[in-house]
Amino acid sequence: MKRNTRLLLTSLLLLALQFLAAGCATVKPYERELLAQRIMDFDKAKAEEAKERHWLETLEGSSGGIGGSGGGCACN
Amino acid sequence: MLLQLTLAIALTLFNASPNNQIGKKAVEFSLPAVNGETVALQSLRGKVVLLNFWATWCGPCRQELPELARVQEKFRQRGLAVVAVTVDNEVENVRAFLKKYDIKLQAAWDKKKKVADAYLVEKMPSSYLIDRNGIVRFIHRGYTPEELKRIEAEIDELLDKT
Repeated sequence: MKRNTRLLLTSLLLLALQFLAAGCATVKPYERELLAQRIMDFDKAKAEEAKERHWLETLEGSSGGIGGSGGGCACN
Repeated sequence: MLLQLTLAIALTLFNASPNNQIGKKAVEFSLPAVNGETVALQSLRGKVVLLNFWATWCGPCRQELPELARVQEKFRQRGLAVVAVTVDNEVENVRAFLKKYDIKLQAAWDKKKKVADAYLVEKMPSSYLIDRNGIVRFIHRGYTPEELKRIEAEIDELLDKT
């Protein structure tokens, strides 16, 4: 491979890396207002699911059976 | 050259650490208060200042703020001033929150986050304890009841000093 071609390829690679790096952004902890909104949650039905789980655990006396901790008193 | 680069990055990171502010003069600021007035750190010189960065969208901050109002009342007579700097985008959310929970604190609005930038806030909430001479003495990140007890002990210690 000629020296010029190698140089060109290296430059293109660096340029591509630069574009990729531009996609990474650091969000400071005090700038997370929009990210903290419920709509940004991956699990959109989180609150509903928690209610349903609590209801089921109370009904079955099986607190913790679904994966959370607890002793089955259904008091939480 | 690689060594130089590593050293430069390490030095930059080291200098940007919030812990580097301990023992140094607190960054002066003047911000609009949520109630419409102005909060200036300079005007609180001679008091021990608990500077707290918080937001209504931050769960632990919402837990901590009523506790800070209690701490303010506990130490007010001895010369403590709690300044709650909010980084909310909408000041109306802050007013509604303070009203709902009847929190009577000096709340300032850092709309552009410049003061949070200057204090290198790296966790929400964060509290900076500033002594009567305007020197940062302690920094606390996050909120737990144990952390608050430590803060209270440090306030007590700073208030005893002239």
